[in-house]
Amino acid sequence: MKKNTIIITGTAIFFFLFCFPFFAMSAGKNVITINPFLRKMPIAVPHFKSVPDNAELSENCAAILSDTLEFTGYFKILKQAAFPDSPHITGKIDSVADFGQWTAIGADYLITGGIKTNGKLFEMELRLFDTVKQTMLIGKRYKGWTVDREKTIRRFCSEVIHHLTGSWGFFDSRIAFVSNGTGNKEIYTCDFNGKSIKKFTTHKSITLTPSWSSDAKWLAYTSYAKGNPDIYIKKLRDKYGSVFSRNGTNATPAWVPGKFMLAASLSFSGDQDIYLLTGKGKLGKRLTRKWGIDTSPAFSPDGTKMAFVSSRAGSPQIYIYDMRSGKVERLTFDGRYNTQPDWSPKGNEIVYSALNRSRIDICVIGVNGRNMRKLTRNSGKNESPSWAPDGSMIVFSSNREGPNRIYIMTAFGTDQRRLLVLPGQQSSPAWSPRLVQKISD
Amino acid sequence: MQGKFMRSLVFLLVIVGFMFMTSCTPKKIKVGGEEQPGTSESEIITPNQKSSTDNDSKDYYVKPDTSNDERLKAEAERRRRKEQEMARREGKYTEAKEAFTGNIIYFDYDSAALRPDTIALLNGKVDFLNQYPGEKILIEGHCDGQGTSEYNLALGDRRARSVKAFFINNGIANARIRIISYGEEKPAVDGNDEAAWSKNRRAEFVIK
Repeated sequence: MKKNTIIITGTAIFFFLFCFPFFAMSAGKNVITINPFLRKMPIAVPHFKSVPDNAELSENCAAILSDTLEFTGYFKILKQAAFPDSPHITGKIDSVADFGQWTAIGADYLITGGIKTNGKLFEMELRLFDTVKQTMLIGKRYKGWTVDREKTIRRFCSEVIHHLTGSWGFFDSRIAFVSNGTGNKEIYTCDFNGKSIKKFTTHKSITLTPSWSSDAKWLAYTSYAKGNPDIYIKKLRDKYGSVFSRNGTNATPAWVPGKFMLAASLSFSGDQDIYLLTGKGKLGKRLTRKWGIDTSPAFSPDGTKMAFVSSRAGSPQIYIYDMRSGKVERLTFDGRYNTQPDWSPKGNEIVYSALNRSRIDICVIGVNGRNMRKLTRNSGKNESPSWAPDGSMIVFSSNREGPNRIYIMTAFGTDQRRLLVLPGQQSSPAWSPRLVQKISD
Repeated sequence: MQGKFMRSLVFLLVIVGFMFMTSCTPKKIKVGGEEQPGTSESEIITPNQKSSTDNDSKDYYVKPDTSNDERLKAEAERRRRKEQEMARREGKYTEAKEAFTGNIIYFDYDSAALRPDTIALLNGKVDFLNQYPGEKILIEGHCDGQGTSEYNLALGDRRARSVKAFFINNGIANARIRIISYGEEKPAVDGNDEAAWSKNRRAEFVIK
């Protein structure tokens, strides 16, 4: 165990020490405020220069970089066939001979890459050029073990996203979800792009609603493993933790940001109300007291407010609870069934699902109750929306193609697509915070 | 003279009776697939004796036998009745239990209120719980698949609690009733229309 930790720490230190900008970044970030997904940024990512020469590796690195950037919905990746030249042919990666050749094929941006492999080690140089302004925007050199090659490329992609949008992206995040492929609903996790799927629970029962702690080290969820719907609080690394069980329904755990504490909906008093729980599974303060259903808590990023669902006005609607004053305000008035709130990482919006005539659509509303926009339309039941850690994308479940599966889209509802293919049906996706905390912030 | 006549009559009767007995022996019948000698003997002799009592005077000699037969007969009858009663009770219990667990209580969309048309069934369930005070029960609350899973988990909880409250208000002890909500996780009927949904918005009953 200890040895393992040392190796991991060693990797991290090695990995980060040798990652530094070797050119001063050009100042000025184009922070995007209106829908950036309508006009995608055309970008060219030619094959990398590789030493020793390895055409497959050159192509593979460029493909990982292109796919990662394209995933965000911000970019239009240009076709290799149209490129005037390529570093794997010219051998030049540190400068661009003729920017005009790139703008002529429609590229606003160009990324050049070079990779030197030496046994189990690699050295990578990556540069982002603005072909219109004819300048280099980012230049990075990385050293590491070859197993971390893809992770390194993703790190550079985070730099690109940060430079162009002002936020750090989500390339180091994972998504937890429920799948019944084994015949039982169990919790699984995967990378942001649906890859490296891992099964997390083996309760062989009904297991529901995973929720990430804000340090992404813990998962809480509901399971019927012992017959009753109870709350399980488990560390991702070793799956140790605790169980909270009271008479009745113990459901919808949600972590309080920055604290080892959760809110959950419990019915032991005879009425379904929201309470605080410690991370060790001890009952804390009761937050809601109105008769009726109170469930599905979701905290604002600063932890001062909590959105939740209540039937106090006759039908399920979303309300906001002020953690300091205890005051409750109703947020949604449109429609008769608004549930599953998730608070945006920027703090200004709440995404939720709205049921209307047996269709369920994902909607976003300002925390002031204004600017409601519907993100899905005429596509069956769309449920359980969850924000990416930078707020640029939303993961959700949908039965638009028949069975329930996990889909993603941009925060403006564009680029909707299925995230992964697994046996059975999938539901209840929850996007994790960034696993690696911001380094260059 | 009379004494001689009596003696010969007795002799005759003994002979006749003996003949009857031998002729009767093979007629033993099986009751319920199992041979019950005591019972079958008395049952078979009785009708024959009746037919042979043309002469009243025979009664005197036969009487002790008859009273013994009647006693056996009555005992058999009692036993039969007792068994019948037990079977009846057993049957009644099974029937009542089946009615208790089989009669599902349905709800309206997004509602945990007990529908007026379910009150008769609920009263029947209260009768069952009063009649069998040893029974402990589990009420399961279920929802249709129209809504969202978290809210349905809460709604199923409320449906189960509505039924529990009805039982408690009708004098059933709190300690005998447990509830669980399965939300939309265990539909009774698959399907995405009102026909399926109306069968899935329900409370089910389990005897623990």
